[in-house]
Amino acid sequence: MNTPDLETRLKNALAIAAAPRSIVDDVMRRLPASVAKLAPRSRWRRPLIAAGIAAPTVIAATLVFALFFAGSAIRLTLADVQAAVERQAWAHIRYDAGQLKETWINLRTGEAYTTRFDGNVVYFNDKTNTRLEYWKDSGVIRQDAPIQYARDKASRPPTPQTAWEHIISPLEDAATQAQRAKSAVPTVVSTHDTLGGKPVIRFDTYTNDALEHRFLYSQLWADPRSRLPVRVRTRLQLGERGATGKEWSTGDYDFPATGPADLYALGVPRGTPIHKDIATAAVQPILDGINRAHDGFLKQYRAVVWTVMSRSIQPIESLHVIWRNGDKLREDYHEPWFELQRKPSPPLPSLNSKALFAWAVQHEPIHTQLMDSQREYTWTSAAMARKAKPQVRVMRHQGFPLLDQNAWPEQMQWPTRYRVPDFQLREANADTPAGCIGLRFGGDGNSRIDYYIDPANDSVCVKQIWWAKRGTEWTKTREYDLSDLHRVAGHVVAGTQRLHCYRDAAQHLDESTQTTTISVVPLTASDYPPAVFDPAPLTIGANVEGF
Amino acid sequence: MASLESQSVQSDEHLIGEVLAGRRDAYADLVRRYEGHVHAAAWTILRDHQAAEDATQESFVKAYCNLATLRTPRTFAPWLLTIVRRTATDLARNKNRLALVRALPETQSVDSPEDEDAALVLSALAHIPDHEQQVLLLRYFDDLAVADIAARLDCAVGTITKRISRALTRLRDRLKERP
Repeated sequence: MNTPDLETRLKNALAIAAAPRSIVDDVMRRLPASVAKLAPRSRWRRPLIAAGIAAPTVIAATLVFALFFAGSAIRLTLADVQAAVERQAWAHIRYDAGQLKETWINLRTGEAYTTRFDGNVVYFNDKTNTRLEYWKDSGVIRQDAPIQYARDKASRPPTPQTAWEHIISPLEDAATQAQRAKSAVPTVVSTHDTLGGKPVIRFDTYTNDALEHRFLYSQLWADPRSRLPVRVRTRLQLGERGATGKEWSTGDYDFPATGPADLYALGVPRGTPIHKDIATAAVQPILDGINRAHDGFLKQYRAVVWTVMSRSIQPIESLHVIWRNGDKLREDYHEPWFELQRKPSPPLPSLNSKALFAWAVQHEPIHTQLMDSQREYTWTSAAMARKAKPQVRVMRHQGFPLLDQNAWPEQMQWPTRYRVPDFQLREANADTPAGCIGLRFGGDGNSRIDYYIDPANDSVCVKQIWWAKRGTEWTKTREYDLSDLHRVAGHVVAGTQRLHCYRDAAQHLDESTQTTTISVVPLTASDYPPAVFDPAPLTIGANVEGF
Repeated sequence: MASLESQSVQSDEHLIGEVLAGRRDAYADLVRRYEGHVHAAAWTILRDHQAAEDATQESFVKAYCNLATLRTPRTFAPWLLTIVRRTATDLARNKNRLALVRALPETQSVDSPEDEDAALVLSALAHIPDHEQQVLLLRYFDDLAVADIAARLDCAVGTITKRISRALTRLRDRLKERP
């Protein structure tokens, strides 16, 4: 038999071995949404080897380590990959502490659900830029669309992603960038670790606290074989640490095939109404007037604000001395009865602003809050904190105008300013003060607030009535009234605010009234005491914590 | 067998770059381009088209998942062949293991002389250097002209001619070595 030449044999062989059909479509159907990026390398491995300066034992150990992980990548079987992809319809995280209880992320649609330990539930949909929030106490689901993000944040258009892409890739990218840039203070560092005896990659995320101290903010462990996140640990905020006695919130991942279909699947009562926040056109001019008046209010002043409770044995319940200079604000808060109990000192003077201010500057407050547009310092006296030293907490502002929101007397005069602009115009009724316009906030659930705005007096809200639904009936729970409107440097200032709380049998609350007196003095730059806005003196001898 | 019309003129490097940049569809061009080679390599080990198809699919999925680890995109084809050989070998081992566990009498398939010779040739092919295997597959499997192979691999025509010649010589030598 003649033996065919090699080229013919090769052609024949390849023809026999040829695939009977194309498998392109089959392969494409089985692929993950996109290519997984490189697993992180030890940030010190390559430089050490390249430099050739490491001790042989270190090199050997490192190579064993590297080969182990390289080997694990190669050993990835189709079953592993398929299982991982199929498991990645939803990512679910269950936390042990903090505000968040559970989170579900739909990796294909970008939707997410979060339940909180207080029973509230939130739904996000990045695609429609919609947020639904169920607040247990209000009995309503509020729809926020489009979501109003803080200045430095924005919605991201969703694309189907694997868990690795959605959760780990951003960390991986940050770690790689830091590695390439040889950053001495990388934001994200990836290292090899073990969790439950299994090899994992750990991503440590660092950030600076409000004192610019670098600290470990979160850790995420990922399985390089399955390419799935396993556990996340996030440092709790200072207040949460105090409340829970824990420093970290730990969340464990799992990947259920299905997730919640809607908020009701997460315990929200069926039939809970959904309310969409939209200000009507008729309301907008009123809101614009409020904004203008608020923006134009005094920015340099000192205010002395004190509160007297009805039927209280204390002459004064609280005393605030507020200094404001542009975006800097200092508020010294006194509870004279508490302070006088601890230190024998002259009794309170008569209740006028001049005498109370003079008393206040002679006494250590129980709290001092100091803030600007960047940071907020909260100092608490050692006596109040029941510690050996005063406590100082420093928080960084997250791009939200906390200053305006917290500042008295602005907040008392324009309480609607930072509410979601979700108001309805009210017809004049028996509660409407003369010349005022009524705005209603809420009402779909079990609470609502009526605001009465006086357009003739810098759009100040002269009356607020808070309502609660008891069964099918609406009853008043509290009422605020401003009076003694007068002008200071051309701006309307309310001299008195009266708060009346109605009896609430369900809450075992009796009727009560408190009266707050506000005295505002305009200042010039030279009127402020030295270092009144300087945080440094607050930190002397104090235990300082930042976040 | 892939025809010239179905072949994209874009280089492997370009397509890999596209895939890594998030254009998943570009991977279909790579699958289309190499499915025949990969299947043939799998068949050489498994001698069964169905099993070879499974191995081929597995190999492409594995390659995709590990694409970012490929340091030199020009070596995609040899790298892919390495993956398919490993996958097919694992599959063959598992098949044998499964058969033992089941303890079922296996029907021995009797290969035709053509199949035997094909297996012999392809087995020898698997043992020559990757870059030489590649040109033989492109020339005799994909029926590409030398000029097209040169364009595909971004080499001079003369280089490809010499490489094919050397590859055939080496293949012949490998076959002579066999009993």
